[in-house]
Amino acid sequence: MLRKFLIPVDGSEGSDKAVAEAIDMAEACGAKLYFLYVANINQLAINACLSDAILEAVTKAGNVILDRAMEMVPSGIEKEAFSETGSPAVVILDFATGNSIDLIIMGSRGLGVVKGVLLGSVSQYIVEQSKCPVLVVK
Amino acid sequence: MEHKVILVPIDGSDNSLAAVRNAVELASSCHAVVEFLHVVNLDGAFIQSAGECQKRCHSVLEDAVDVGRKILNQALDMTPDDVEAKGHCISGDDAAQTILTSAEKIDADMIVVGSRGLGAFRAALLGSVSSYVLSHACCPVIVVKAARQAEK
Repeated sequence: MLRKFLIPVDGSEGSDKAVAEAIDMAEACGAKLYFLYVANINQLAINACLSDAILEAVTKAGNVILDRAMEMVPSGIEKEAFSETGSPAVVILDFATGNSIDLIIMGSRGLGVVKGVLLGSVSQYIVEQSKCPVLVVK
Repeated sequence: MEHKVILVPIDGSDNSLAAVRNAVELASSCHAVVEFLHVVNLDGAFIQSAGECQKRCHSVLEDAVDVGRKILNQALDMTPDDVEAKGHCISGDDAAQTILTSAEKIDADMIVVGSRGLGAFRAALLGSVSSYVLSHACCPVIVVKAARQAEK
């Protein structure tokens, strides 16, 4: 059975669409939604030179995005929000494996800068490397 | 809620069988309808001439369609009784484009594909057809890997 959906969110239009699709599917399937925000910060940078103020600002930005996703979910659907730091693609895949996720639902592209490409680099990496099925929402 | 339609293009590869498993599981829990599609990937000129030319071309086409039907039947056998499923065998010289056209025609809500099919370029993690479908489909696309490939 498909019980656990992971939706990596970054506040982009693509990730909003993924959240909407995930809610639709969870309503039909009765799955639980796991929202994950990954602050793209290198652990070394965190240890070495990042001030607490910057870290706090990044965490706050992530929480705003996670709260927005959580608020979109109608009552009756199980949901949980997670915030991590690191390289997004790697953290997303580790989270999926660690939590026995059945399906990753994500936008075709996030906030990355290259607008021309149809599939963003994080989405591309996850589609290629993920052990579990990946749903790419347009 | 209206029944959602899931299109599953299959070519008999391990990854496409994994896509079948995932799609019927999804259909069973979401009460969706599954449409299996096998594209007989023959050259366009060949398809055109097959009608006119001798028995030999015709039997090639027939053989290919036979293989397609077997693949479709295998997928239908894997489908539990509570899931409504149909199989379609269509010939086309461009598998990816044929899949996208079919998706539009049947108004698919979702496409479930294997990460790569039977194509020769084994090193690619995402096959050319899957990649094209993923990039150009209007509806959401699920990419599925066979367990063995996922281990790599």
